[in-house]
Amino acid sequence: MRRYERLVYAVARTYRLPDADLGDVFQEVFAALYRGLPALRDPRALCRWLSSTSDRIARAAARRARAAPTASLDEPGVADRLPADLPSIGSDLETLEEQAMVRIALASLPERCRLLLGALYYEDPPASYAALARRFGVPIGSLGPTRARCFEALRRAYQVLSADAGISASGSPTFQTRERARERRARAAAGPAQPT
Amino acid sequence: MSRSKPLDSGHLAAAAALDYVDGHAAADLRRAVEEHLALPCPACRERVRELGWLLERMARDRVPEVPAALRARALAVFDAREPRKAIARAVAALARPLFDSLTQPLPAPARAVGEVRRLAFGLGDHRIEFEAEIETATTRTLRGRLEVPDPALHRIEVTAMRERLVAVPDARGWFSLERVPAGRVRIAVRGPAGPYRLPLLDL
Repeated sequence: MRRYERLVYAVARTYRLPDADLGDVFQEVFAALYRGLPALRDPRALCRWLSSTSDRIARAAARRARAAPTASLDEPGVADRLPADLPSIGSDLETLEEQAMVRIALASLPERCRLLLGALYYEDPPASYAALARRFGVPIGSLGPTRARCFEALRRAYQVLSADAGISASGSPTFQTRERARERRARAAAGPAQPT
Repeated sequence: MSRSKPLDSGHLAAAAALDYVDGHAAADLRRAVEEHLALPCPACRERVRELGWLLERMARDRVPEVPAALRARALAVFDAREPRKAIARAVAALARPLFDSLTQPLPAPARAVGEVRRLAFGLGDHRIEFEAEIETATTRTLRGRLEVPDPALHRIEVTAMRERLVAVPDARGWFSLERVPAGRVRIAVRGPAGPYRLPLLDL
């Protein structure tokens, strides 16, 4: 649960739900997971299922929350003025899934790498080298090479995760394949090309 | 600015590639990396592309830590469900969830499917399938099919917002209920196939 909770949280909070509703969504998603509906073995499939399920449940909660203040049908026309639906956050889901996968790859690295990359790339603002050298008790000059080694380990860990998910037969095209897929979706969303 | 060695065994060094992508490379290192990328070296181009892809995801990921209260709430469900599962097994009258379009993974193009939620539950060797359609902001229509022998001898009781509605399926099991109050709904099936209670649903 710890491994994937941030993804559920990330998706659910995009709907700007009140805390109580956010809690309901969080609970419902993990309850659904617990019921064992999905036979999901690899992290990619689980990420996809969790993001999609969280989106569906959070959207339903947001719709209820919007409807609630004007729920009385005594007032004529109220129902007609209520929003028919809320759009899904759609392609953002994929970005959130990818971000979750990167964090899962990061979590598989040795602690030193996890902490260093976390401090450099997830802290906002990022920690300075001087502060990190003090934090880890290492010479400041060693941080650059360690960062490069750790990032290389992260790149390989991500490739392994993606390959395990059967996204790509080899490691490196994984990134490229998905970038191309994203470009194709963007073109499709933009509609047919205009004649020149 | 970093002045790490640009090449290692004829390819971009890991540190140089990373420094280049995240903008830490000094001018001379940047030039050296760009000169190498101009050569036909697909491995290094791919590496730079992957590093950029990862850095972009990490830079955009600013989701805060999950509040402890949320985690505790989700975990509480797990604790509460263990005994309920045991009871369900013993009594064998709690309908078994088979499908719920709210939680069932669907392919991406189907994610935005609109206002109808489809559900199916196992009733021993039989099943009930129905869909809940949004009628108004506060009401739903339930329609579906009870797949049991002699369905017309059964009743489907729906309790919502202290209101009880009853549907009697036709000879083929089809039933429909309109103006079911939205929110938490309790559904029970009664008849010769035995009483069954569906899990509490939020419709």
